[in-house]
Amino acid sequence: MNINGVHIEDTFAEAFGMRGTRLLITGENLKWAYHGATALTGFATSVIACGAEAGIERKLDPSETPDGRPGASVLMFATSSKELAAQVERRVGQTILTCPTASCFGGLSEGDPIALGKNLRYFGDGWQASKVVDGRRFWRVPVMDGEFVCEETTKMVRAVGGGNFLILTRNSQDALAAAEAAIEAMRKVPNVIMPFPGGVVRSGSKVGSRYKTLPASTNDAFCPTLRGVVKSDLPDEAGCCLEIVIDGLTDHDVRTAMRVGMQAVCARGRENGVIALSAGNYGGKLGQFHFKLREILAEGGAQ
Amino acid sequence: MSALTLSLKSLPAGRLDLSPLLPALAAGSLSSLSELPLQLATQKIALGDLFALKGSDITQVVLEGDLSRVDGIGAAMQSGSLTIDGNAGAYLGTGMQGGEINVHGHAGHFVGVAMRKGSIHIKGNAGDYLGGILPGAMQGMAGGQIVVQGNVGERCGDRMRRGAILIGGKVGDYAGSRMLAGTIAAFGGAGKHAGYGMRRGTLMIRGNIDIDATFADCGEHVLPITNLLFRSWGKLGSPFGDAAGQATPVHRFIGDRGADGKGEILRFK
Repeated sequence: MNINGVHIEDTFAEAFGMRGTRLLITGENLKWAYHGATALTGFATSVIACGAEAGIERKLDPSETPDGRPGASVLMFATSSKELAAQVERRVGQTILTCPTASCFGGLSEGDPIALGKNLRYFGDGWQASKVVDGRRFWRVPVMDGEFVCEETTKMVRAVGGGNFLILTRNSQDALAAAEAAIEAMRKVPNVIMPFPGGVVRSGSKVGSRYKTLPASTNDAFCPTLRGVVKSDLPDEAGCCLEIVIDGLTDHDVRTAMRVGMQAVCARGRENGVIALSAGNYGGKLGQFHFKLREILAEGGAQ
Repeated sequence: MSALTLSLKSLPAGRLDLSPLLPALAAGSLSSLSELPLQLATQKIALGDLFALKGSDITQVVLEGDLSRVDGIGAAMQSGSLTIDGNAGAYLGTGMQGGEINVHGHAGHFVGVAMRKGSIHIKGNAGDYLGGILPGAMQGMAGGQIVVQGNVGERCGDRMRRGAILIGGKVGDYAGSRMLAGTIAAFGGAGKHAGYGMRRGTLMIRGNIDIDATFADCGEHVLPITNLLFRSWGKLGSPFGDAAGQATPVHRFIGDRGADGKGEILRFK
């Protein structure tokens, strides 16, 4: 398969079942809502060491938020329900409770409830109070700028993490430009986040390493500086490879985001240095979800 | 199927207890409804002697006529809708567990006492002890929503535990007395001793209110929680939704410091 001079490798991305939730962060204005949401989703690139993968899904207009203030929608994913619940509480407690004027609400209508403000309320030292509005319970915790308002619970659903594709280009400038174009298009897709810096990751990994204590290590098959000494998967012309990782609420959402992103990369084409698209997988044995690149692009009506 | 309609033919002297109506309908005795025995003052009388029946949809019940001497309308209601095309007597919606009651006129005392769920909407005024407590019980209204567009009498929300009471006009003396939790909002001021003995919960009062000495002045603030409340009430129209979408400053008083003292009166303009 070849689109606009870009070779589409006959491979698939291997993704895993995760637990996910959506949180709505509001503030006095968009600036402070984003200060909260940015801190909440900081250091949340990979579950390998961050505990959660999180990102800002999109901006929210006042008409879309429970309290009629501007805000941001955040998606957060973890490998188990227990870990997600722990991460939500820890992160909201340290970043939204602390952020001036910010409030925090659950953003999913279906799913199993996990604690949001349910335990954070004890910060109020007895002065906390709850209000039930339209069947949803909100906690009011007195803080130094007034009150921190936080919904008691948020809904958790089964989600998909680790959808991905690799962009192989002539050089690193071409790779950045292609990745940026992909991310810009993918940010418009609902229910997904790209958790890495700027949505892009350079340190793709393989399973295992030569060191006993390290379960994953650099994906040497795609490292351009090792092409002469390892079994390289890079075509001769490729001098750089970047990966985009996608977490989404359903496999359909991840699929859609992958398609939109890959189409944006292909649109730049060979003339902008894009050589091929590939994907990361572990031989298909570890992940429940296989996203075949050619199949996804064919669904989108590409040639 | 058309709504089950009960039109009051005439009502002899004394008060009528209509509380057996909905439990009888829920038990499926529509065919023998006209024989349902009711208590009128000191005597028993069959429902059919007082009301003309029409229609058969028991999920939508309509009562016609001046029912200001008819008590216990909608008591123990579970679901469906009940419309009173006039005034209602005392104990409207007592112990209600679901469904919705609409009163086009006024309602008497003890509206929604011991109510747990559902909603009551009264176009006119309502009497004392609205959302209050039954004799011997520990808690009053424990859920649901009561909306009164006019004024409400004394002791509104006495020992209220949960839910919301919204009053378009003035609420009488001792509003929210001994309140345990929940929300009462009055958009036309309040009488004396608002929040007397309240432990927790919220009284929101627009307009005139005298604050008792047992409430501590905590200053004026814009609270994000009022955004949520006003937005939720916005669908009820004026005056309930007047402040929706605005940052409304409230003057917060915490009390009753003579009781547990974690309730609040929020006065706003």
